[in-house]
Amino acid sequence: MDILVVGVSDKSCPVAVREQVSVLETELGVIYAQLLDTHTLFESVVLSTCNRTEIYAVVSSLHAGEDYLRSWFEQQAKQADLSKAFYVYHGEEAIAHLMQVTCGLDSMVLGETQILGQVRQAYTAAKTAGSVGALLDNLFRRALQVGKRAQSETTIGQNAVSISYAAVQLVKKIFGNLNGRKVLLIGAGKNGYVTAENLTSNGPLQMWVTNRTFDRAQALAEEFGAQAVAWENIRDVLPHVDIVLSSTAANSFVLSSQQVAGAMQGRVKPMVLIDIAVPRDIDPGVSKLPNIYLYDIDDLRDVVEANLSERQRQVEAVQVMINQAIREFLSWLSEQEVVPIITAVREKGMQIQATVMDSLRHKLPNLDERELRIIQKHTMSIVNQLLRDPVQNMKELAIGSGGVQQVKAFAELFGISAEEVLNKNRELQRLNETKPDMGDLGVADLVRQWSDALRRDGVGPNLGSAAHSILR
Amino acid sequence: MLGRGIFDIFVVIYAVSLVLFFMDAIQPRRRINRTAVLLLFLVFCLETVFFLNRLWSSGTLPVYTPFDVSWLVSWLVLTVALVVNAFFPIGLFLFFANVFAFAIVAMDAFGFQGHIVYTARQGDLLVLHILFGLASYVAFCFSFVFSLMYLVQNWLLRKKRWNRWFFQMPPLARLENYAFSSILIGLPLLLISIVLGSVWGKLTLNRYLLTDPKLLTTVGLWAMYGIFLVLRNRPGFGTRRLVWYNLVCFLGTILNFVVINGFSLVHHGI
Repeated sequence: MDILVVGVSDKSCPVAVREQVSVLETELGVIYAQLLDTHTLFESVVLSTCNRTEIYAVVSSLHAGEDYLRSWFEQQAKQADLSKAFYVYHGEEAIAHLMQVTCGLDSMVLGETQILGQVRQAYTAAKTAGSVGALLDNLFRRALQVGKRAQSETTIGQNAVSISYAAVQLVKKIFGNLNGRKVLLIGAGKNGYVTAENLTSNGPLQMWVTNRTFDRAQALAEEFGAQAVAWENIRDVLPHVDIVLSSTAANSFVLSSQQVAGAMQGRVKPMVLIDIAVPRDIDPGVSKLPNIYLYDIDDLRDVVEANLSERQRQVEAVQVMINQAIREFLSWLSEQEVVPIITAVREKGMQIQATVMDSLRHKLPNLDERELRIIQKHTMSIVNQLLRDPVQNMKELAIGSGGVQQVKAFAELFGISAEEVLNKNRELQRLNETKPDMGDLGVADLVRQWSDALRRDGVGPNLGSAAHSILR
Repeated sequence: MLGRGIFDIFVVIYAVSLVLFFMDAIQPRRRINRTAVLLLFLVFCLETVFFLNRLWSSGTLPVYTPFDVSWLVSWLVLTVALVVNAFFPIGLFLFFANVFAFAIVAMDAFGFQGHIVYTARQGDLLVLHILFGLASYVAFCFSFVFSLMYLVQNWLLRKKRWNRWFFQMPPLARLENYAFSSILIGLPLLLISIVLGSVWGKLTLNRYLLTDPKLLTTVGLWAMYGIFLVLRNRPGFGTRRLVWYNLVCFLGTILNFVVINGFSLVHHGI
């Protein structure tokens, strides 16, 4: 078995192609039924957002799985040529890709937070459809965990990457929060409108709106729950406001230095002026006045650039978290992988001990019950002591690099055949079935998945694929 | 008493930690930041061990010599900064607060020669007087640090420098609020210290030392910070001017701590 991801994203193809393969929420039921029906995929999660459509799957054979998913995408696309749009990752690369996606490292806007919710939604939908087994369940949980960690422990998703949000960021850097702040919106330009929208979403504001056309000012004021002010009355409102947003189509300055200086007379509270208009609405000389913070469109653009650099800088820290999560997942996986083999080795030791005891009973018939008990105890102790170190070392070796090869060597060293591992799997599976409360994350679940896979694969006497079924 | 060599090593570790913090503030590197925090924690441990060692060897709380008092102030600043940073991380606060604490440690290391043996009556009341006084000074230190951060952040916003310091430091309004809160804590502590000191003077010398320069300047300092609170709660003075006024008040604190003691009948000069 292997973990595989096949998909297309904004980095690999234009929207004209992506829209062909995008999956609506209402279609998921049919798609999961289709995916569950195939013998090639054991588990699958479909992640479809406006920037990507990907299918994460646990497959019996890498080649067959990739072929199946490619043809699935091609069927969805109908007309579009996807041959150059696909990306395919498997094993550790697929795990790393999912974690990078969840942390927003693969997003169009680096570090964006929306993707975390979209991955969670995709995972929940797949789980509801019964398409998630122990493996993808564990993987997605860890991916969501690391995504949450990246957002809470770094600032990768915190700094604004649009002009309007940069304006809000600057205002917040001065006032802390926007609750109760007084805002004057000058003009009905699109940038000003969007910035005002963002400001209002950050706390209750008291807003005035003014425009050369009073009717337009009234319409906007109504939209924001604000008060319309006649253009010639700006001077009356100006001394009372904390924030001025200007976005008009005027060819000359709307606010002069004298006007602002007049408004600031006798006032000690700071005033932030955001000029998003081109040509500029506010005289740049205003910035020399005390307690005034004036920012134009170029300043906001610089803030956005600085924010993007800051996000880029955070990638290093997020990558450390991702690497740690990958290591933990692989370690968990390796531990699960040795379980049936260790059980088989232990069983073999106990069988040898039982045979020796039978032989002793025949050759020394005069031994009484007490003597037999002592011999039984001591021979059992020999078996346990002989196996303790190899088993412990095996667990540790399986986690390290080349663990798969070590597992193979270990099994061969003890003469454990694939059939014995299969039998162990079945036993563990039965054990699991009798204990339904063990939950959906237990070892037994994972072993059941392997067992299914091995049965489907028709694994022969060669141990290879049985003992090293995952992440070859 | 601490071996000179060990003391020098301690100061060097502290200095290296600060240099690393500065490097991290300018060009952030995770490894540098971790090393700086680790070294700072080592400094904290060493400082605590030295303090406990003094406590053990003198058999009483080591607050009677200028060396010990400065040591305690730097230890308090470092401890509070570490605790605040652990629970409510404030960008660059650890760096700025420790620049100040390091200055005190360096002064301790190279400034004080020998020790004054304190001969007057010592006791719980005097210890309380000193401790409350030190606690108020530490609160004023933090207020100063926040005000300094306010001025830096304000400069960055006015000059449109969107660098690491801009991102890391809190908003202006919050920094101003932190500075105000620190004074709000420090002012009653200083008042308690003045009252306890006066009572101790009455009990020890059988009179109130009303003309002692230290008492007069401390009362003056208290009034200066009191005026800060009044101005802060009255509209019209302006935050920036208030921040500058806070810096002046802190200058008064330093003078009161370092210089005025030399003229006092009952306090030690540094």
